Amino acid sequence: MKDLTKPEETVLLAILRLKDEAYGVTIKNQVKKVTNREYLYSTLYTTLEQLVKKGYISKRFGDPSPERGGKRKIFFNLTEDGVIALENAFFKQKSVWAGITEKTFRNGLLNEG
Amino acid sequence: MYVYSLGEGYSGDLEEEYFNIRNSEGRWKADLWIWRQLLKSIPSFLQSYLQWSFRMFNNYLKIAFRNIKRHKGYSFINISGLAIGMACTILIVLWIQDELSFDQFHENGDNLYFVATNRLYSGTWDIGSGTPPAFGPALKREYPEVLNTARLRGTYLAVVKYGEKMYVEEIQAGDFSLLQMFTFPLVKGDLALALSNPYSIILTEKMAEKYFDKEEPLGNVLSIENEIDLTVAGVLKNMPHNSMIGFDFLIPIELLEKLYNNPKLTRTWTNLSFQTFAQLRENISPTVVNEKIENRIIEGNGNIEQVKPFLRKYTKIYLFGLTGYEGQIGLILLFFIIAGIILLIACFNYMNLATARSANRTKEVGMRKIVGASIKDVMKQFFSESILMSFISFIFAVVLVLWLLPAFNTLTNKQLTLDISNGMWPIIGGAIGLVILTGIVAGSYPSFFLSTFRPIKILQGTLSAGSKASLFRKILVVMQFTASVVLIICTAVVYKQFKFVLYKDLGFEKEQIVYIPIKGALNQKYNTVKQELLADPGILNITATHNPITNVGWNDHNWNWEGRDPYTDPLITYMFIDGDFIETFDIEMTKGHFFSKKFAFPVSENSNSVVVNEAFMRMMQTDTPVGQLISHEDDNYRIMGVVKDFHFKPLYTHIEPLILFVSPENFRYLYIKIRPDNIHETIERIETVYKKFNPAFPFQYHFLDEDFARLYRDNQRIGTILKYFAFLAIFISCLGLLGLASFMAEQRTKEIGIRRVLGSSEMAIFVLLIKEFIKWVIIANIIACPIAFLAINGYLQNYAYRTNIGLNIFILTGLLSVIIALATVSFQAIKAGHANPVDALKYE
Repeated sequence: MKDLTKPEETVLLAILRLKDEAYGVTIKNQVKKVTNREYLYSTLYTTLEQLVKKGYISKRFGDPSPERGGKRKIFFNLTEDGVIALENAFFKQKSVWAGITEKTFRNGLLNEG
Repeated sequence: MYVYSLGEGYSGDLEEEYFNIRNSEGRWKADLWIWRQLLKSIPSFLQSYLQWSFRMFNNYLKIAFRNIKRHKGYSFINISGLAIGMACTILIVLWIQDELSFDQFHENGDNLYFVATNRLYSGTWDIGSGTPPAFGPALKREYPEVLNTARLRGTYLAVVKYGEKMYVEEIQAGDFSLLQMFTFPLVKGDLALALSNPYSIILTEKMAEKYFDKEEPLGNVLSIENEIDLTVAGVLKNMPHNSMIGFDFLIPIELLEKLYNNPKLTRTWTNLSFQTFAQLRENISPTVVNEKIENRIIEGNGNIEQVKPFLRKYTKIYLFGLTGYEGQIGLILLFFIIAGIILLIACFNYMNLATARSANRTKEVGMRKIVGASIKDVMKQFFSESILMSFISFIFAVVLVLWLLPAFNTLTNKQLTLDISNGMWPIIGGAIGLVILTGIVAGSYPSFFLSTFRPIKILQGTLSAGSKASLFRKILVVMQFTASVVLIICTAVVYKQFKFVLYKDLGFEKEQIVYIPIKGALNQKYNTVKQELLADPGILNITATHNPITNVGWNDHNWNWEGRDPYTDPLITYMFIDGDFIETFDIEMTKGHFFSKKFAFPVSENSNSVVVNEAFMRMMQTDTPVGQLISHEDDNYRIMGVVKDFHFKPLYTHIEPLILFVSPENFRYLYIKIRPDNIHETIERIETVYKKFNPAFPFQYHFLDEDFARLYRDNQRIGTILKYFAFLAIFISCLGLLGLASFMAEQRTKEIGIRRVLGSSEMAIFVLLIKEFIKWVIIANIIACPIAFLAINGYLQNYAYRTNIGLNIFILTGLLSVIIALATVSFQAIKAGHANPVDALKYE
């Protein structure tokens, strides 16, 4: 299984946290809250499309609302494959970053052996 | 697009967030936000889109290359056809560019005008380009809207001498204000100084080098016609080729009075042989001025002649003529259309071949569709192929153009180059445009055709090539041949007319006649020179005229005779000759008699007798003109005889009435009829005599029949160009036919095999295959005939005297096209008939 790209990972995590409330606007705000990066809708939706194609998330339609000009929301949920992908990513990350703590950076890497 | 499925969510989100921001931070911030969103999203959008397109494109190219290599024969046919078509287009575009650039380089171009006239001539109003010399200065003096004017008078052939160097040159006489108005820069000298000296001359760098070599030209003195000495006051940059007016030498217009011995020449209101140019002040409209000047000439000439001047924008004249409906634009459009036709024919070839061979690609298309290619994708594939082909052809086309450019330049009398100095971008843009346009046009039909195949049917094997497709193919071939046939017929007619005009009986004998311009002392010594020359055994007869016999130009109004219609005052042409005129030229008299031999050596008094031609007699509406009187102004003349009509003007015009006078002071051209043998020695002897009497002027002689051919040189040129186009068209059509024939033979191998097995002879197979093609060619001919007929009629309208268009031309062309088509396909047909049926049916 291929690794998740950074945007894919970020978006999947956001959807994980948002549970059933994950749609365009909320995902964008969540990402901003956590990483302090404001995604453009174009990047967001490209990533979302990739994730749908890979089968990591599924989409369902919500209700239309006047603020959206009468358009429906599209909600995203993690699929089983999506959860597995995140899990893999988590463990891979863990093994790659194993043993590195805040102290590593505070003491200065140059002093380590 | 990858956001299609999520599009609703996307746009909805945008709106929702916009709404939120607007509520919390106000309209302004919200709008700002939306713009930033949209603009920033463009790069990533493009990136994802292009990424995939790029991948697919690679695949298309790979397949396209493989196809080209696999079918080298067909590819060669396609590429050569397209390359030739493109090369033609490029050459023609170069030519058109050059033509369009004519006269555009003048700085004052917006305000420069040429004075044309509307003239009442024999009862009808006609457009003329001649104005009286007094008009120019009057324009400048009396009308504040006019900033500057200049006059120009046609070419004067004069002897120019500097020290040892003596040549006959073409000199133009004009106001030096020409150089102020038009952008003909001086590289040496001062215009103001030149203007102030009435005995100055301005010449081009080329001429300065010719006469002065490395010496400083300014201040040197050139002798003109051994009569006047002029100081060089300026040297002009060499004339650009794309200019309607140009001169090697320019002398002040007043000097013409000395050269013609006519002291009032540049101040009259009645002589219409001058050209006038005007420069209006900024933002003045010509219509305003036109109203004011309309009657000025009539005022000036005391109402003798109805001449109404009007201004015509100078920069438009080359392309659109004086009326706005003539000029080069017709030719330009014509060639543009021809180039388009040839390119189209080449594209048709490609289309034909590609669709015909589509049977070989059906499986591939089927597979692509099954694995998910949309119709658009398949179309993109075939367009990529055609554009690739087009690109390769383009490279060959450029090579072709570079190779053909020198020949093309000689043909069209230009100096076209494929140079980049004017900016790479327009050329690259044009090139890319051409490649893509050709690719798209050529690929359009195959793409549409192939992309609509149903994959199931293909893989099941039940899809046939389709009769609709072959109908279209047939139409294409027929159209190609139609265009070719039309071109061939037009070429044939142009050539025929040219030959006709060249060999037509002009009413006088033009072979074996040498003529010499009479200059300097020759005029006064005419009698002596003539006597001495007549003594020469190689010389048969001698006469002289004032205008070349091929183009007599002097004319006047105010002729009176008994029974003349008082309401018309026709402009009648007259000619000065001597007593040997009709004998030298072998012209017949139909009534009365010619001037007596006494006037072979003119005495100084004018005779009171004249001879008229048959056209004049018809105008008088009488059968007995001999003995009648004609009067002109204060003089009376008696008609002595009537001469048979002969062409004294080019064959574009009908033969008009003509009056012949004897008047030795006016002789300008000496015509010598010589024996056909030992021409060279005879001419040398003539030269000796000439030098004896007229050493100050160089000896110049011309053959009348050569001159004649030169008159119609333009037609010859058009004929040659058409000839090449026709050849090209047929060549490309044949290429197409060849490809189609081989393909059809290939397709029908099984059928042919079966026929052979069942007993058909080789000949029968041959005829079977040929029949189809012959039918197409005949249809093409039938369609071509009316089109060609219209075109021919249009062309021959220009000539008052036309050659016959018999049925012959159409029939011959038809036969020719059939033969050519036969030749092209027979090889394939024979091969097909000859093939071993066993090979064809092996796999059944």
